[in-house]
Amino acid sequence: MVYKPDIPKATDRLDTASQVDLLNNFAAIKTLFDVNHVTFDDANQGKHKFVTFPVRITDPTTEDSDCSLWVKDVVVHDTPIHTITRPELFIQKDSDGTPLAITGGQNILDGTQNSGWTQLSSGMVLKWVGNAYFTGPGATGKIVLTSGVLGPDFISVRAMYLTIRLPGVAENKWVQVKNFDETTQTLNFFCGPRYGNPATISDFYVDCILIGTV
Amino acid sequence: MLLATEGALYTKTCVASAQPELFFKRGLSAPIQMTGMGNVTAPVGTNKGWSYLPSGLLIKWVGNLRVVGPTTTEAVSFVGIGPAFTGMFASLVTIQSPNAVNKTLYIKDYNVGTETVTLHTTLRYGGNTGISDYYINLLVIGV
Repeated sequence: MVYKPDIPKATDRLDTASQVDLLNNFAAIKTLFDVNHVTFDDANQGKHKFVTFPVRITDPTTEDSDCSLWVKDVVVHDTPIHTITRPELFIQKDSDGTPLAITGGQNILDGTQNSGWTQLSSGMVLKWVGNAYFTGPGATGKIVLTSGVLGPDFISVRAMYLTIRLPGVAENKWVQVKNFDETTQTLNFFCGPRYGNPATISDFYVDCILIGTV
Repeated sequence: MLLATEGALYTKTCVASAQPELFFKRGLSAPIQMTGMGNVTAPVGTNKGWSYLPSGLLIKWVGNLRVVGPTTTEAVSFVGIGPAFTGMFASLVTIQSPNAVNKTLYIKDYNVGTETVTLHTTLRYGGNTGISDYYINLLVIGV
């Protein structure tokens, strides 16, 4: 049956007031349905073309056995000293569970160093620092993930990876993860030359990737 | 037309995966691709793949890639492995071998224009000559 948004016709026998009301209602239904949806009588009718979420100020109430998806504004740093606000996608599992960000993240280029973070769809966060400069000599080093700048702070880091980057020639150096201090959001590592006193190590760069809860 | 105070979800065919994938558009910003991945196992035993994360981040990897020695540098190209990188932020590299090998492996540099990560290695006990074949696992994060 073909949808007819323009009935009743002017020649149909209806009360004048009712006819206008019915006509307006049908037209309103089509106007409403055509927002984001494939229109009537198309081969894909009933399906979404896309889904638009107006930004919510508050998190929704989610019933048991339901799952909510919505958009909320999030403030992120796009430089170490500047923030931007943009809508991100959130999910809430049943019974008003903790809202989890699905999207969100930013890379901040500071000089030649990249520092960034991304939400994972599980709610965990992955952070990285690329080309972080370590000034030798020294037997230990650290990378501080500046609180409040690189996305939400880690509550518990679950995995840490560290790789040396040497833009010049290959040299006999090593690095080893020591720990992550959640209080100061700092990755601590040991380092040294292959031979001799670790405290004599010369300058180098590192890339690190961390995964944890926030 | 999306407003600045809206976000939208939709699907679009991804050239790299040749499948409909999920996209998210934040207000007036450029859309980000949330899903999509691929992995090829060529040559046999080697993995070369890519995946989008929901934030729009793009990760690419090579697994068990043979580096033919003797060589002290190796340029690993990601051209043709999924969408092209427009930015490369951080990477990890690890030697893989069924036997212990006396090598130390480093990232040398990136070239986003050629989608290449150059590695270099040394023998652990000094010297760079006579480095035999080895295998690597390399992961790159970017967009």
